[in-house]
Amino acid sequence: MLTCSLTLFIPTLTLELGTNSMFKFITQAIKRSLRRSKLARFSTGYLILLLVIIIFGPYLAPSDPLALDLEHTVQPPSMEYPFGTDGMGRCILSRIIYGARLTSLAGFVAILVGMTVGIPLGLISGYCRGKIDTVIMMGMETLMGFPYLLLVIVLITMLGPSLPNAMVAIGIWIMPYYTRLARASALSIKEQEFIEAARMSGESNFSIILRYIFPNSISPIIVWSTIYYARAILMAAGLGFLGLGAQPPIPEWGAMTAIGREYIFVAPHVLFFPSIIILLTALSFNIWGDLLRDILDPRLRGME
Amino acid sequence: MSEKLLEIRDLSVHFNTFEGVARVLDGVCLTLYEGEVLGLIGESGSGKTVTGLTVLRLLPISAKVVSGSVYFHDDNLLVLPEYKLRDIRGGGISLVFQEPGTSLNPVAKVGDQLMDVLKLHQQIGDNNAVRAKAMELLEAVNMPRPSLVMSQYPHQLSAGMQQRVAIAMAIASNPELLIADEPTSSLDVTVGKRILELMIYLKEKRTISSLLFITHSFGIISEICDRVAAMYAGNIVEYGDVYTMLHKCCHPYTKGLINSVLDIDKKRSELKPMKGTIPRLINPPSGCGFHPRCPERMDKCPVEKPNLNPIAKNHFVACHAYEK
Repeated sequence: MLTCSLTLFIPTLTLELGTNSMFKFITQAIKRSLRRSKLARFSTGYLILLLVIIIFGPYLAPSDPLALDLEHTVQPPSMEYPFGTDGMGRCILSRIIYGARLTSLAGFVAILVGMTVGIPLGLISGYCRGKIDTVIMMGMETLMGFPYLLLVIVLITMLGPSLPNAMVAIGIWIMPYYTRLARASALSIKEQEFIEAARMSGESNFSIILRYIFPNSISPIIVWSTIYYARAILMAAGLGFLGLGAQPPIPEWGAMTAIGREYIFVAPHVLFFPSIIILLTALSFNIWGDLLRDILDPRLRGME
Repeated sequence: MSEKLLEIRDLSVHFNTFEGVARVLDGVCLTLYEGEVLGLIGESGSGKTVTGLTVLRLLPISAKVVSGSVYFHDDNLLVLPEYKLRDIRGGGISLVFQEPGTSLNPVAKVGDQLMDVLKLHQQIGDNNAVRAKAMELLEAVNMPRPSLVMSQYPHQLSAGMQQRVAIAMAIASNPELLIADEPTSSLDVTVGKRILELMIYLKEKRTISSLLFITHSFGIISEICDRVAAMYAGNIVEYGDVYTMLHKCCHPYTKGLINSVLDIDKKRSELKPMKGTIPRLINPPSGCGFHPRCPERMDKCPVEKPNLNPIAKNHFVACHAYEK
């Protein structure tokens, strides 16, 4: 997950800080998080652990996540199966480890879809104002007007239930929020004098948006991305739970909780482990988003 | 004198505000010849900056050009299509803003910003050549350690250095006219003096050919300008060469401005500040805009607006007291 979020942030951060200070920035962010509070230390530790799991998943998993062991179904945690087994006798720990890749990918794709469409529209809308603004924002507000689950279900019904389609649907749901955020930033930035100076030196509107407005509106976008990354993971899991996302036997966390629901009175651990992992992941990303906000806030910059 | 470079004729700009229409410019006429430095002086809110911005059509949405024209060579800038105007912005006319800190992009390196302007207006294909040219520009504005500054961000520079960068960017495209909008006002006095010296130096080296210098200090005017126009409440009230304006000025407003400067040669000099403040432009005084504050007011003043009349060669005054 952290890899995904990092691959997402590195280009944007490099734009703002330059390649050399990029590494410094990340180490500084981690250092500051460690100094800050127990909660921040915990979430940093958790996200690093997740990163390791994503990278080295196949080497760490004790068994094959798809292998059935019908003699040992719904077993409580044991030495052989640390998190127990589910209704088909599959190792829950291994499935969680493999699922980390899928779930983080789901969040990443959703955010990417929302960003690539939403941010340019928002920047254009905020910079140009007038009719363009009205049309774009009307469209976006119509999208926002739908209850999110209804919107995503409609989209998935149109596209067909599968994990990639769920990712795209969540991306479309996130898109208007990016548009609004980018528009708000563009509105305040375009009134600043250096935009006037850029226009004075004869820059075209396109290059002003790309090279002046966009890099200056990146900090709130990064912070939002961490928080919406967590939400996208939650939604992907939710869709998996409803059977609209990942289809069995794919080891995806949401789909795993859906299986666990059947055994809630017999073997609660089948539901418990994937749920707690989803919770911790979303929580850690939210805490990190808060942390990034502090680091990227220009008013707090240079305080350490 | 030489050819006309910029000619502003009867320019009126109104701002729509919540309280009504503010007449910020009310029939401004101004001519700038090639190779001269024209000073535009006046109190805050007299329309100096708006004049500068109107020339490049950079006014905010709430502003509206009601009448008049701005001729740069033979083009009326107010009706020129956007794509042609972009060539003139930066290419033909450049602007240096009042606040150096806010006129630079905070997230781009100084070098990259300079190179952007160079790439936009000069056909240099090679990246290294552009870089070399940018370094040259920073040296031209007396920037200490230009190679270091190239890779720094605007917030790492001092205000004086930022203004040097802004000037370097403005002269990067060899503009025919540079509009300097109070380039020293936001700097402290010693730094402001060095920026002024730099402008004079660039003028002497002919890096800057013509200059429209907007300021509210007569000290600066006397240092750099060839001719001066005094502005009050959206009107040019007096207009003449720098010697006439400093020593033989006629309009009560110009006299007031000069009287509010301390004379360091006299032993005990007293400031004689002008009474009152600049009028609200939403509901300006009738007739001559200056009459409520004027010590030489006549009966005619609140009734009729005076025209800009010549009283000597190259000396124009808009005041009823000097009408023939």
